[in-house]
Amino acid sequence: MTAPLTGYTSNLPSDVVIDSGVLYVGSAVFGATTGGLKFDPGNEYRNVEFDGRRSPVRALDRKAMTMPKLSGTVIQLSTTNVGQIEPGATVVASGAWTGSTSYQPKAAGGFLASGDYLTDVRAIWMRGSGAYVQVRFPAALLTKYDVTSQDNAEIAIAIEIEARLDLTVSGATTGTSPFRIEYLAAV
Amino acid sequence: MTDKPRWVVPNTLARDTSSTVGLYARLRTTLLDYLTPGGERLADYLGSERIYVRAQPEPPAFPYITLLLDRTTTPGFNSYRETAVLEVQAVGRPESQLPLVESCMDIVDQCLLSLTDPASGLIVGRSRRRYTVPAFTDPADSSVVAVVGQYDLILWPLVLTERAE
Repeated sequence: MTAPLTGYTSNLPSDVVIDSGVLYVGSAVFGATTGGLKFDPGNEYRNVEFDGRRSPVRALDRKAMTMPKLSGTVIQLSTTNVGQIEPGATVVASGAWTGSTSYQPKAAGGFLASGDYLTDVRAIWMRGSGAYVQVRFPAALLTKYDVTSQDNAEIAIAIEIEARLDLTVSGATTGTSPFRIEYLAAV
Repeated sequence: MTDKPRWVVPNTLARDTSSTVGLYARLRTTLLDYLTPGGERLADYLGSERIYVRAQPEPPAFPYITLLLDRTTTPGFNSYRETAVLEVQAVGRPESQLPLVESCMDIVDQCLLSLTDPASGLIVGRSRRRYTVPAFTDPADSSVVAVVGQYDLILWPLVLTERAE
């Protein structure tokens, strides 16, 4: 009797990736998430066009753009998070609500400072073997978020973090990928 | 009355997922070996033996734990992957053992809700339902206390997947 055709191999128990993963910034957890993390490398390929081409041709592809993005939903909002979701936000006294600690987002118009970017943003997933795999953005910017409160449930803060290429790193060129996929034994 | 060994998983049995009995043996050993961050083991409460399959031997020594597996094949994986509900029932007597029984189940919770075991096939546990059994009334024995946990497991057991290798 022939067994059903399957993608199963004996490596599955150690290679399978389990759970939603955890979002880190540097060595610190960004916050608890719900619903899992999504990574999109945002790769865009272009296949050279020419008269008479009837289908995409091998060896004529060029990676034209990469826009890596991590997205997920966070359920907590700490004071540390404020500086992460609003890059460059500062604590101000002027105009603050009485008794509050008032964070004012960065003024629009100017460039962000290099210190406004996040460093080593990592989405870490556990593998069946007990080791880990991570997507790492050495430099990143939280470009989008919204906050939704819910009845009888934790708040939901949908975030999107995009990788940014750091051209000050030795050897980096405009074509260098701004993210890495890394395997590690411990977090 | 002597123990009824058919209810006890023999220590000599292979603790792997190549058979259902082996799967019970692996889960039982996993529970007995689990060490909490506070340094507790189930064996501190149950000794090294009193985790049984389905029912306890007679006469029972309290507290004890019984295990029952209910397995369902997951659609879409060509019958190699299963979801299972492992019912863990901790039973004590007299009524004053209720805190002891709850503590046993706290250890079971910690162990099975963080379980990732790739040593033989794959066993993953992440969720459960747990409830304390209300006091029995006559003619049942009201001095018996019990806590039941139903743990959802993901299984890639060798007994199924070895066909694919």
